[in-house]
Amino acid sequence: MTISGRAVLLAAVGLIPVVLWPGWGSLLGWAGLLAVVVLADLLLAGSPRALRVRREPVATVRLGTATTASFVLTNAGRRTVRGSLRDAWQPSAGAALDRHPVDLPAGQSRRLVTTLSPTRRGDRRAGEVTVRSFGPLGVAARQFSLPAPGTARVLPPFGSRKHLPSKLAQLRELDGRTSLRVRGQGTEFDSLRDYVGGDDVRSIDWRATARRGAVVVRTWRPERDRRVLLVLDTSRTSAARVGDEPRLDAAMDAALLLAALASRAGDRVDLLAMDRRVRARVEGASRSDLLPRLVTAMAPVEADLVEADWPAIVSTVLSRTSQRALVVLLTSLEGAAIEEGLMPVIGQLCTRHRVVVASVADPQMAAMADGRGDAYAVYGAAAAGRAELDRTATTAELRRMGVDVVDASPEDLPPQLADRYLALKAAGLL
Amino acid sequence: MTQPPTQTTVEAPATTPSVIQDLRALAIRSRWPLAVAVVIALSVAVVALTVPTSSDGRRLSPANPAPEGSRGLAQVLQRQGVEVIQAERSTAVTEATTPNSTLVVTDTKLLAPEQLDRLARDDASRLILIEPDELTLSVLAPQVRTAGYSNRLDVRDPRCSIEAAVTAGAVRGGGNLYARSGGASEGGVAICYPQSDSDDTSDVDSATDRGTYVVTVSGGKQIIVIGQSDLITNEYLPAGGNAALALHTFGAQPELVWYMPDPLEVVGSGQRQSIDELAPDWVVWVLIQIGLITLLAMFWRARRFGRLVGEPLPVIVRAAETQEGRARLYRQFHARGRAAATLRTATLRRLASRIAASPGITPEQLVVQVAARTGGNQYEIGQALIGPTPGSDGELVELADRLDQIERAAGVVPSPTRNR
Repeated sequence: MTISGRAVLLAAVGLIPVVLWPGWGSLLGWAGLLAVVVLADLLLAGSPRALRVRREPVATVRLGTATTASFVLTNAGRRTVRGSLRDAWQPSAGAALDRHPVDLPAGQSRRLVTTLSPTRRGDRRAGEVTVRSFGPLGVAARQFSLPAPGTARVLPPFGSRKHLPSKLAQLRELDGRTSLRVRGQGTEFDSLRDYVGGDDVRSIDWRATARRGAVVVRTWRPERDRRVLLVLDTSRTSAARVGDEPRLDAAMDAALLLAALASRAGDRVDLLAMDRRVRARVEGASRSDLLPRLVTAMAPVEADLVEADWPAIVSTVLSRTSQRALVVLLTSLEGAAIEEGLMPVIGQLCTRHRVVVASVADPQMAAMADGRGDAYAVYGAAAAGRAELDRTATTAELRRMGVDVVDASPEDLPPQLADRYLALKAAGLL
Repeated sequence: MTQPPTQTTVEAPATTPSVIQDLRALAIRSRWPLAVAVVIALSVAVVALTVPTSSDGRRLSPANPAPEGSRGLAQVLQRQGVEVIQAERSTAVTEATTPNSTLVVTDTKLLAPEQLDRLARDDASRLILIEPDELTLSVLAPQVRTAGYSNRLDVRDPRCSIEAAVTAGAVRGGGNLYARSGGASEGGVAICYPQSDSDDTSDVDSATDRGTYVVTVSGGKQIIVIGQSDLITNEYLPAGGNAALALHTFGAQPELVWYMPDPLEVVGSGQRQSIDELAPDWVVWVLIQIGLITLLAMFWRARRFGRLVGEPLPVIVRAAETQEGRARLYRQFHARGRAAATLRTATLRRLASRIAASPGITPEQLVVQVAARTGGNQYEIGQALIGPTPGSDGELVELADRLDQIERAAGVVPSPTRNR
């Protein structure tokens, strides 16, 4: 049970008789009156235990947008239930208005909607639906919590979506669809067609021209049906925050842009999220359902405070890919973790696959390295400079082993990684 | 070293908004409890400041060691064998006094006529009144009346034949002035430390008739009126003849009853009246009722609307934390050599890539090339790039600025975050 402000107000009105006739009589008399009123109200209230809740599935939502969670409330009791209701969600589900008024006659149903504006990625859980059923006087209420489990899946925001059109335009330039294309190493013969003004004379196929009696050119297209494997490192280095979000979220953003681009380019994209064990995996997705499957798989993945098991990651990658593939390791170039974990085993990967290491850099480091003016700032600059030099050394070492390195701030990483992919594709190095 | 101002620039600004929002939400949630707590704290403070909890803090209290207290005098008297009894009730005074005792009364304004009558009838043979008002004098010493107030605090000569005053000599002047009443004979009232000039007095009596130390006899008691209470405070007791006069006056008999009237003493009863005797009789009942209402209100507000839903929160580790920790270590141990080496290496690399030096170039060769390219002094550039370790933090800061200058002269493009 619970009481309302009216009960307190009623008790406060009792001050008047107490002042007029001081003594136990008026004090206890008023308390008794109050108790009778509360009891009567409770007895006359509709039973909240007779209510039934059925949650409806919540549409998936991108982080940063709002969605609605609804449920149907049915009154299976004999009396009208009047009062209020709380639809409890986890705080990060962002249910701002989770209280609803209820006025439900016996035998009827109502559909109630709570707006969610999630503030975190992942599966946001709903708790119980708690009902307060007030009596006719509104002084006291019966309270009961109805179990109503439910989840809302919040997908990564994919903020780098905005880069997709320009990257797709660059991709089309690579493709045979534009005529101003230089035949490169990474191209496959596509077809023969008649020469039109403006075509590159170097692409004229003289043998076919002789056979046909008219000038014929060869067209080329970039290689297709390559495999791209995105490996998300979910270890402790990805948990560190750059700006206000973990490195992992920036890495996901970059992975999604690359996946969208590669699937349009006709490549097959797989995903592996791993630290010491596999956290998420997407394999063999068709072009149309690739992105939905990727975001759904990524949504609940959080960085864990464990060291990445790079030998295990490498062996997992090797066991899953038979043909040559582009392996993109989305991690961070933190000195020790890379030098002791990744360096010894990346050679195995390089021999069979094309490897790109994409690292989320911290723009604050650059700001720190430029600190001047007093000893505090200069020591900070020296510390940041030291880290920068370590990073440069790691990068140089990786490049020496034939690994491509993309090291950029969270905003710049997705387009730079996409550019690197396009460059590799143009050069036919996939 | 000046650390605090730059600390804010090193901290990540990105995480602070959520912290501020959390604090704000907390403040909004707890504003009513906070307001109630503040009101309670203020009332307690006001009560504590206005109601003296014991007489030890009062002015002229024999137990108060503060400058305006009189513990010094009381202690000296005790050392000389005088028994000092402190009293706060007029009934206690009546019990404590004997024919061998001197009674001191401070704060006579707090005394009602009944209490004054009781003082007049007690056994003490000497009565010292400190700055008494007209009402007190009219009951206890009708030969004396108040005669204004003097601001002249300079020392005064006694100019009378009272032995205590003659022995003591000059004492602190000023304070309340007293004179003979209309019908009093000149011999019955001795006035010492007269007020000699009338310029800064508030009365127009002739100067020699008013003084700050008056001795008379009334109702079988010797009565001494002291108009300047500073005489017996800890602060002024050691000055001039103050101590001599006070000891003579207060220590003339083996017992000294020090009466500091209690403002809450009920006239006639000698008892302190309790608050529930003063209040109307419904107050208790209303208080009980308010207690019940409060309990009810607490239940109303405290009853939770269903269980909270728990949420596993992510750890917040900022990526720059490692570097900040390293910077703190450098600073703590004044690792100037290491810091300077790092800054120099970074600059050398940028310079080498700017002037497209060959990969195997030594720093010395680079210095020569940079000097040739910028037209700078080769020795100075050498000192900055490969010179000795800076000897102080100040030199390290200068070195960092110098390296920046060389880079700018050589045309190294500064990073966008650099603002100079």
